[in-house]
This record gives sequence, structure tokens and C-alpha cells, in this order.
Amino acid sequence: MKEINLKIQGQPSNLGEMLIQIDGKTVQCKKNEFGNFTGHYQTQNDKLQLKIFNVLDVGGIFWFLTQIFFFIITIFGIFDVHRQTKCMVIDFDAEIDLQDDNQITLQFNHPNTDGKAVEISTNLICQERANQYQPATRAQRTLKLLKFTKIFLTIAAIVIATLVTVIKL
Amino acid sequence: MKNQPMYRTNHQILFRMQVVHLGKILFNFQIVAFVILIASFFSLFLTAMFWLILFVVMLATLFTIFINEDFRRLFANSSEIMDWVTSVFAQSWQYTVPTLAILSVATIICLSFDKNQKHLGRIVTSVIFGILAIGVLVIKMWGVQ
Repeated sequence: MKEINLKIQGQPSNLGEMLIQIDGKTVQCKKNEFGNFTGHYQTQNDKLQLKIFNVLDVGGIFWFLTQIFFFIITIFGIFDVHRQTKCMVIDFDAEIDLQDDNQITLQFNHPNTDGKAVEISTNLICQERANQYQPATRAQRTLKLLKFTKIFLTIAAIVIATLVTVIKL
Repeated sequence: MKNQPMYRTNHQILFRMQVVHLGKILFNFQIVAFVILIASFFSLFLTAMFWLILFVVMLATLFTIFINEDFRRLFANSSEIMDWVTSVFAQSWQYTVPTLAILSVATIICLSFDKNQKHLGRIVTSVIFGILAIGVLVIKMWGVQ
């Protein structure tokens, strides 16, 4: 049984939640006292396939309705949390040959379409198949639609409030 | 370099993110409840503050504001208005204390779903607010008895 120790550094906070998968199984990572994530994995294989994904905080229709609900209950976003989600997804896929001592350090780069997404430091032989950030066009469209819906709702609320006031007077 | 297929949005993770988002919103509401609770304690100071604001407005407008009829009416009824505001604030603890307690518990539960961030500041503040709410409730109940 070979043990793999993973260390993840510089994880961007505006890219949602990261998922690290080895041979299709998600590795549970824990945050250490230095703010880095560490994970362990055991396998009997001589090679492993390492994939990294990020789950953006942008979903489908249920997510959209939840955001609208949050927008309304926070009095048109006054008490809402304003986050800046970078609409980019990580595309990382590598094949690594294992030895007795398997230490892998993954250093995330700043989200940018140019250059590598992750710098991998290891004593093992690593063959990268994909390693880049890609723009999440669907998420960009959804966020834009959400922004316009919020603006429309705010204008509608102001118009209704004005009409009600005028009618009452 | 061949592109791998993108990961399909994991609904469980997305749901967890929304719960954490709700936790942050509840924390913001908690701050509002706390401010109202504090205001109820210092409601007597509100009268002084109100008079101070009126005085500043009068000075800033070189007393020409008295030409305005609405202001004259406000000035004449200011004591009644402040009595009403003070009495409302004095009774507001009955609503703010349970609200603060419920919000602090709900915030801690929601924020504990986050696996990436610890939200130590928000959780500690929520615990303090919760303890404070219980403390105020005990003091008030003691006073009623």
C-alpha cells in the first residue's frame, strides 16, 4: 500500500470550493494552522490520476431563486454579503508515477487564462495533461442575468412604493 | 494539451455554500438586533441626542428653520415624540433578546457547514451575542420578579 501526502497552497478564495480527486475519488483535505490544506490517500496502484476541479457558487434555477430570496430578505441586498466570484474553472489533470515516498505539493497560481493554474512540486514523475484556468461562460451569463434581475426588482419596488404613496396621499 | 470535461456542479456542495451564505446574512441581522438591544438600554440618551440634533439643525440654519411650519410642529411636540420613542425602545428587549438568541444559534449552525473557512470571528461574536441575550433575559426576568 502506497501513501500519498498532498499539500495544497495558495487556494484562491474567489473560485468557490476546490475538489481534488485521485483516481476519481475525492480526497478529503483539512486546513492546517498555516492556512494550507493537507490530504492523505492510499493506493495499491503504481500510478495515479490527479484531477482538480472547483465548484463555483453559481448554479441552476434553484440557486438563482435562492439568490433572489436572499436579495429580498436582506432588504434589496443591504444586509447581504457582497462577494466577488471570479468566473473561472480549473482544468487540471495529471498522471503521476508513484514511489515509496510520495509527497505532492500543489501551489495555485492567481486565476488567469494565461499560464499554468497549478504549480506541482514533487519528487515523482508527473505528466500533465491539462493545467490551466478557463473562463466559465455559463456562470458569467447567470451572474449577469442575476444582476439585471436584482436591478429590475429594485426599480419595481421603488415604483410600487412611489405609486402606493401617491395613491394614499 | 487536451481539455478534460468540466466537473458537473455538485448540488451537495452548492447547497452547503448557500447555507453558509445564509449564515453570513443571519450574522448581519444579528448585528442589527444587537444595535436595537443596545439602543433600548440607552434609550434615555436618545432624548438628549434628539435635542442635540434639533439644536444643531437650528444653529446650522441660523434659526431660519423656524419659518418652516413642520419643524415648528416637530419642535412643539418633540417631548411627546421622544416619550413615545423611549417607551417603544424600553419595551423592544422583549423582541430583540429572543431574536438575538435565535439568530446567534442559527448563525453558528449555518457557518459550521463551511469546510474551507472557520469563520472564527463571526462564530465567536455570535457566541458572545447569544450569551449576552441570555444574560439580558435573566436580568430582566429577575427584575420582573
